[in-house]
Amino acid sequence: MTTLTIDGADLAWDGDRAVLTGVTVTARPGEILAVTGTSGAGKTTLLSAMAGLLRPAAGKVLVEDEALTDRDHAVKLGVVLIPQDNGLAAILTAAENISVAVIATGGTPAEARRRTAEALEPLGLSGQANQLIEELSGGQQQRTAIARGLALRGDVLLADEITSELDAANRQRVIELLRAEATRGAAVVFATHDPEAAAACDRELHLADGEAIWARP
Amino acid sequence: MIGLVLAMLWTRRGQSVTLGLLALFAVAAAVASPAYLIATDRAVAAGQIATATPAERGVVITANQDDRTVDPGTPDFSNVGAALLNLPGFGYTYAAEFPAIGIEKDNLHPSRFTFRQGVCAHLRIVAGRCLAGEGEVLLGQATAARLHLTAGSAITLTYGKFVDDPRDPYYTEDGEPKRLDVAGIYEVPEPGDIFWGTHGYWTAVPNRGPGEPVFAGATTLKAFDHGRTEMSIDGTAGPRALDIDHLDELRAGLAKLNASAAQLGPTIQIDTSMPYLLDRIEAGRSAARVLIPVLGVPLVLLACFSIFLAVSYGSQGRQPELALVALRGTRWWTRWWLATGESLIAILLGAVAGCLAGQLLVDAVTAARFGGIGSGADWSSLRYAPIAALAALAAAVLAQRRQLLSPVATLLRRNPVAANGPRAVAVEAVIVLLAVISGVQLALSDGELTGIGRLAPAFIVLAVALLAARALLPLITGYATRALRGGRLGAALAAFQLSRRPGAQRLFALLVATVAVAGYGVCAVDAATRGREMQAGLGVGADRVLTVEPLFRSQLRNAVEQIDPHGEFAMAVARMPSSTAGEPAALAVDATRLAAVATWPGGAAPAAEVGTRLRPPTAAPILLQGEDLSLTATGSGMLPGRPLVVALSVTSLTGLGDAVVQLGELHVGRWTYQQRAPVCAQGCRLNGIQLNTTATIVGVTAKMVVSAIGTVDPALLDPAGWLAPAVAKIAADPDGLLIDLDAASGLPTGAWIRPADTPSPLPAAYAGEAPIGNTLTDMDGALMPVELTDRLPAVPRLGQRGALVDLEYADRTAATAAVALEPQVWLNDRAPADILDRLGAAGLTVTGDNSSAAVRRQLDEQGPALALWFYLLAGALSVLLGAGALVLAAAVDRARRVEDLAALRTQGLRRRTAARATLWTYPVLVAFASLVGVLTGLATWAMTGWALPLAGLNPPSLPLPGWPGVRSVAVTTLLVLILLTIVAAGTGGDLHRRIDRGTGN
Repeated sequence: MTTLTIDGADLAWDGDRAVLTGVTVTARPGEILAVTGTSGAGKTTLLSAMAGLLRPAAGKVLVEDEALTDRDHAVKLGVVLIPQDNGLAAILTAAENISVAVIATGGTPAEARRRTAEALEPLGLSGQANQLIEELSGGQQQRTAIARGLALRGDVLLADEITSELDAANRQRVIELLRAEATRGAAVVFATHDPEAAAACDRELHLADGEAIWARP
Repeated sequence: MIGLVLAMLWTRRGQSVTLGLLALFAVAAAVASPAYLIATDRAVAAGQIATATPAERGVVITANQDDRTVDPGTPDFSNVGAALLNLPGFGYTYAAEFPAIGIEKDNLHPSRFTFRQGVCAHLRIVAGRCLAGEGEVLLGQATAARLHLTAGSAITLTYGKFVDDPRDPYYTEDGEPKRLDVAGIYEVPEPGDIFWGTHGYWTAVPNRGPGEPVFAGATTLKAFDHGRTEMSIDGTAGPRALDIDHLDELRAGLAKLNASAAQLGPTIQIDTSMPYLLDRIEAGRSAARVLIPVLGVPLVLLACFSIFLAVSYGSQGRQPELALVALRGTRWWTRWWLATGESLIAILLGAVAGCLAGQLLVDAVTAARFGGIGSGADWSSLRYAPIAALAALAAAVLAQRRQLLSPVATLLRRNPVAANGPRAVAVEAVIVLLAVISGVQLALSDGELTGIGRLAPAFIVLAVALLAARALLPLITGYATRALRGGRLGAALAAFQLSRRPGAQRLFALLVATVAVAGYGVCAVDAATRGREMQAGLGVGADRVLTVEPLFRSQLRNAVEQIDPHGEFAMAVARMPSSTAGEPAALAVDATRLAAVATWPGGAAPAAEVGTRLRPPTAAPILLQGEDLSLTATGSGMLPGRPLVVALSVTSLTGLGDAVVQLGELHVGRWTYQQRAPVCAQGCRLNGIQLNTTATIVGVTAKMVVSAIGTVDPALLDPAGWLAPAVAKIAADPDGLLIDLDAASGLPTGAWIRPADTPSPLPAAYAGEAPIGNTLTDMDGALMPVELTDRLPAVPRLGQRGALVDLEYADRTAATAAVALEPQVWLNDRAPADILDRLGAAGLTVTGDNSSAAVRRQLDEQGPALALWFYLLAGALSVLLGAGALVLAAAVDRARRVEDLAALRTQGLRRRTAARATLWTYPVLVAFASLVGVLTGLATWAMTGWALPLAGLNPPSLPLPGWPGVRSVAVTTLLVLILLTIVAAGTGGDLHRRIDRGTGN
């Protein structure tokens, strides 16, 4: 069980003005933490810092008391990221994208095949497993990215706007799957601007004006 | 609008520069082929003129004139000759000579009393001075030393008249003796100088050494009472006459000269080998004209293909941008201009640079290879530049057809359009069909490289490359899938990148084709080089081949044994006569020296073994002592009125020659027949005993018992040791050897009873079809059975059809004492430098001197050799083209690859694995492409290489190599691989940093 903590962090891109200042937040195992805010409020910036993609200008990002250094370190500590732009390799099929990620994070090829199939099935993508990413629709690509995030079975799951291109049924299905992840013991952080989706989460951190405010602590 | 296009150019300046470079290549290639052809035309002429023999660089008009008998009204030869010889750019030298005797002891070889215009300028006077007044002569240094004469000596010479005695020809005095003063002693600094023409002034005289005429002035010659005189005018072509730009005028002038001479009749003879030189130049140029376009065409095609690919990639990357332009509802010309302007400007700039680059490249190559000949101030090759530029533009527009013609909705779709759709398959099918048609045309026309047949190599390369790409990419995808299943992520991602990138198949095909063109070029160059080596080696026969004046075979062998007693560097060779149609040409060689001297064909049994088989042990010949020959025989059974004469055929053991010694009429009863034969003064070999009739009569019978031949051991008269012709039987007799003659049809050439001192049948090695009925014509002109011991790929000098026998054994089978046919001395590279003097001293007069080095030099300057340099140039350009396409493809791919790999890195792909995938993608591609490209080149070579006139339009009958050497192919593959790998590795250089930047690492 892993806890991810951001402690008094100022977050900025490439030395620019800080997008968020003095952020302190903890994602706890078994919980879904919703990060809400308007477009440009800093949701992706916060998740990037949690994923090790962005080093805080001040403050710390801790995974179980261990300060996060970079993305490789985060991957090692089991921090999984489902990025907003899906982060899929165009030259690979849906299944290959998932398998590569599973193997890259230490899974065996056989395990990768099994987990890929298990992850695609609940998202209704079994039929598209062998299609190249470019041949999938936007929604299918997003579900592929989610499937990959689930297949990795991380201790911390960071989901950045992963329901933006989904219909209501699929959105509901995804939230259930996130819940299942939390139930498995993962600390789930779900960035969304959808109030309904946020309401389904255990806690909610609202970002506005460069600050993080607990809407539901 | 122009500003917008220029902004696009600047934004994608990398792609634009690459596209411009590809257009530069296309136009440069199109300009380079004709420019090189023009340069080759000049170089072939210059090369052949430089390596021409004196006879090929001049015209000699000769006439024999006897001032004693000439009609006073007859026009003077010098006037007639001058009127004939008005070829522009020629220098003329008048000469006259007649035989004179008086200072040489031997009257068989008189002094050559010679007037030659301007001789003093070409001699070095080592004692005394040059000619000044009437009555003065110059003597050669060797002659003066031999005859103990010095400058200032007085000599007396008389005109020499030839007495044609068949047994002992000689010269005799015929005219008033002339007292002459030796003004000086000369040596000749350059005997091979063109000034001396083809008169053979310095040809060695048997038993005397180098020939040296006695030079005199015109007035001295006139004042000398002389008979028949050989007058000559040597027309020597100067630089202007042999100007490579005026050879047609020269040919016309020669034709006119021949026509004029024909009208004058046989009194005036014109000798020139100049037409051979002109024909050789023309043949070389023709071969070059056939060869150069063979690779020039695929080079332009590949350049257009690479432009097509480059623009396709660029357009795909720009599709969203072009979709936006279309979405805004701009007019069609604006949309077209915005879509194509960027490419067209880059191509046009590249094309202009290509005109210059192509010409400069050819100028550089021709300057490096052809020296100062230059490619000529001929820019006519630039006329092909607009065509190539248009082709490049057409390729660019064709590549953007989708972006130009598709509706906005299609452009807006992000989903890729299948690159392997039915249209692409149809295009490939057309190319394959063209390859098949052109290949079939080439085969049916028996290698005629004209029409579509000339395009066969280009289409076959392209077709094989496309098929290889189509076959290989699924294999790479399969490999990648297996690698992923096996958990080898680096290999899997690299392979997926290769097989799934947009246009991967076409890029692979292009790389394969460019390498194949280079491979094909190397095949041609290497096979031709080895072919020339063979022509110069096996075609000549040995490192050096000297043709000597006719002499007896025994004399030839003796002379060679005298100068090279241990068989280290020289071998005597003579032609065997030929008497039937379809009979292969045959050479008689000293088989014991075959291995040491002859250039031996590869793939044959070792020369030493063949030589041993050609000369198996046999009975020793019957030797006669002393010049007094005698034969004791008992005659009987002769019919009245049909007398028979007896003769012995003998060969000197010391090189004095051969003779058929007549012993007189065969008498009834036991008689001893005697005759003196000077050739046997130092011992002889008995070649045979002849019974012959004195007239053409039929029904000849006789019995002759030979009981003694000189002092020969009587045991040698055993019939087992003799061979008889069909008209005679031999048997043992208490008194010796019984010869029972019964020639119902007469004896047209006599009946020869020969000692069985040669194997019968005579061993022979052969190449090509076996001699008909296993027979060859023997030295006497009759068919003889031969035992075929070895089949060779080729006989040295004769080529793919011919035969070899041992010279001594072939000589022993002959009894008619005829001189050798085309006697030659073959030498290897260990022959001493003064070999000509040694041969002269041994009594041989060298009339021809050929060497494999000289032939090689001439071949290296001939059309095919010069034209094939273009193949290397084309190969290099082709590989550079491939490298350019690779760079462009990588540049277009970069953003997408960074995006893909950065995404995977975010998901946990290790840096090392990503680096491996990055690093190996294009190097693996070029490794595959290099290998498949070379194989494609070899396959194309197998299908079309045989049609290339690598050894000229009329190749010699030699087993010329059809394939390049393994080493050349391997080295080429390696070089191409190294070059492309460096380029490929360079394309992935900065990817890591970009990927890491995208992942926060």
